[in-house]
Amino acid sequence: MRTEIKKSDAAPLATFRIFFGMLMFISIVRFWLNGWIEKLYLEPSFHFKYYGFEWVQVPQAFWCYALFALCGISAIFVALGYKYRLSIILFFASFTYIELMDKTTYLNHYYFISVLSFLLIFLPANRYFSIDSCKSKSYRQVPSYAIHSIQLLIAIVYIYAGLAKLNTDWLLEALPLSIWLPSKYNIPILGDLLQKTWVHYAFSWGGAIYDLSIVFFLLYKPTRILAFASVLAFHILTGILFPIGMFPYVMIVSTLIFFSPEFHHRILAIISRLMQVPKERFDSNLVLAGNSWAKYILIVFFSIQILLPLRFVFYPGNLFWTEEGYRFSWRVMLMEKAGYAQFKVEDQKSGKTFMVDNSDFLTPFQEKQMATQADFILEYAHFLGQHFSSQGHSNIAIYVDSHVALNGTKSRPFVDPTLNLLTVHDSFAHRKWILPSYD
Amino acid sequence: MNKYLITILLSVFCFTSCEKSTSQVEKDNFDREAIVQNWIENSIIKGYQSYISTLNDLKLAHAEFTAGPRIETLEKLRASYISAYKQWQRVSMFEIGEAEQLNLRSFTNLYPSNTELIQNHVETGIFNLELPSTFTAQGFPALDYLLFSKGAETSILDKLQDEGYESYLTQVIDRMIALANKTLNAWDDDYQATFLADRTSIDRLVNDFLFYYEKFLRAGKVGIPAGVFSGSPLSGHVEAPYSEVYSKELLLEALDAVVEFFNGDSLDSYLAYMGREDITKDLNQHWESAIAKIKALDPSLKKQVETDHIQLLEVYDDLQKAVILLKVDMLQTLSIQVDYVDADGD
Repeated sequence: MRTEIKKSDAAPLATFRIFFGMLMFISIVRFWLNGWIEKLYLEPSFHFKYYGFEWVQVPQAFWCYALFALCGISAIFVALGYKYRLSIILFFASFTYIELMDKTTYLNHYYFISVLSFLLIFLPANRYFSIDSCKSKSYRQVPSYAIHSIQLLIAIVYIYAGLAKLNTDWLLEALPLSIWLPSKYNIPILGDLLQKTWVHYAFSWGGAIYDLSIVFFLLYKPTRILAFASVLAFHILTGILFPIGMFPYVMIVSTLIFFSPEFHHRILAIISRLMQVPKERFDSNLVLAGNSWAKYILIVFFSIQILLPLRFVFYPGNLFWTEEGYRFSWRVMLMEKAGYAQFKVEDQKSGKTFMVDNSDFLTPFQEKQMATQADFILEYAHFLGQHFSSQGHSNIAIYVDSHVALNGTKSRPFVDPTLNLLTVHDSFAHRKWILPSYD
Repeated sequence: MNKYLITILLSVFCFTSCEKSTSQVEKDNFDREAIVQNWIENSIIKGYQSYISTLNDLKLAHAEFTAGPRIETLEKLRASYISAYKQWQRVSMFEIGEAEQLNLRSFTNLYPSNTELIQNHVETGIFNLELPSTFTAQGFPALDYLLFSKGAETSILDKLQDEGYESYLTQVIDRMIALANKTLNAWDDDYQATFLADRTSIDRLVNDFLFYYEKFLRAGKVGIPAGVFSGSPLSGHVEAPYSEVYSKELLLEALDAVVEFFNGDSLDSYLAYMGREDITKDLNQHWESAIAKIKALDPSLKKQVETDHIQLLEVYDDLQKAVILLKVDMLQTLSIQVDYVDADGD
């Protein structure tokens, strides 16, 4: 039945591979040069772990840098299409391992990179215009699902990001943009405009409509150029306004996958001129057969991608407040949340209590993330329990006095302050010890 | 279809297209630079100027004492010590720029002091006050010890006439003056202009202010001696323990400086611009309550901790409530980034 699988030109997949690999390499170098390996992974004495991934450890300094080096080098190999399958597996594994080392640094776009690189393992992105295809056969045609699955992943990201914005705070109050934008007062030209209420609403609604519709305009040929122009405008603008690093460039480059093969051949022609590699040597008439097992992997993969962001429906309470089912769901820049958590250690024998100075154990960044997320608070409480037990205190209880403010409302108590946190253990079940977000 | 598209693109592009019409945009942008300007001129520069002048008085008083060591000149020396210490409370929070480079706060007021090290310096005359290892052997905590600790056999008057003491006092005072001058001189016109133009200045200053309030005022002056972080009170950790009776005065001065920094063309008006006068109101209430409770304490916080530390714990609670309002509600409302966090967001 293999012959029945639809075929497409391989060029879009090849340029995607090249740009993705290059951007990832730049990201790793940027991360390294910013000193973030040191600051985010080596300096903290304690790391917050994802549920089920407590075994992931930050290696010693040398090996930690080696891990980033491996990640960067494999990204270059991906771009070159050299030993592609091995390179993309190494990239996925090293990148994901880095992300798992500390969930403090969780970002949707890091998750996007992990998911995308996992997908790329199963796509024949090295069969055209690559060192691999130079050494063996070069295929001008690849199965269409290879390109469509990248498009589908991008569609999932945008549409879920758009759906997440359809809430009253975002649409009716222009929150959190009405908090964030005024603080960008000294951006040239825009600064004064960002103070205006109508601009906050225009940005909120514009952003929601953009996220929900952009994929369709990219798919439809007559609107594609204009749609890409708005991709550029949207991501460059958000890149100026917010500290979101490489993400705008990743999305801009990713959306090129919607363009026609002719467009991509023109890009590849430029690259081949720059690299002085004749493009013609790749332009065979070979057609790559589809992989029947890849189909099943893709079905499972996309089912998970579509279902995972919906898991929040199983949790009661305000999603933004509890954040149960919040991560891995393309909820980007949705809320402004700030918190403060003070932990109290009680020696249950003597009844003596004392407060913990969080800066003894956490970096300011970790403390900031911890104070607003219940799973962090619990994990940290258990760490404190172990720490003070090992210091000779016995029969310890740990309590937290925590306050969180969400989208500019007055701060409220967050976690039940009367609960000994050592008596609860994390799971996927609803955390009943989170106090309600309203009276 | 096309109409719909045009609407979307217009709304997305409106940011760029509106740029051309900004010329007729009326200026309703809140003037944050005015706040920073106010801080530089009235809190920082004037603060350091007053501080330096009290330090110069201190140096003078010490010279007078050396020339004529009497009870009167000693009292004068002590009085000028305490007025300099009070003035220090008004600038301690500005650990930014040169002050941060110099480690001004650690060299000026890190306590409890290391009296063994001070004695060693006095007796041997061999020391280097530029080393971080001597933080706790200089500055006000060292002066407090030198000018007030009761010697075992000799009176303080006699003790201070000893050459070792005299020379060490001179060097400690000179170093404080040198550090303060360096800090003030760094705030020259160029630096002021750069600081004013830098959009992160307001964020950094507010972060430093909060860091000071949380760590040095709330914890250092109140929480730690009251036993908040240790389970039992630590009377030796109060500020100025040897002169004893000034610790409450110093705390009041420090809190007054915080209230003054926050109010009046400052964070209060920025919060009002964002429509959150309620935060200002609540903060001032907590501070007023704390001030009232502090006033009821023994002038010596050391004595207070030893007799009834619960009263100091109550002060801590008020100061703590303000921390939550400052770090959670205020930072969120003003969209001020928490310091040191320069990693990407999404």
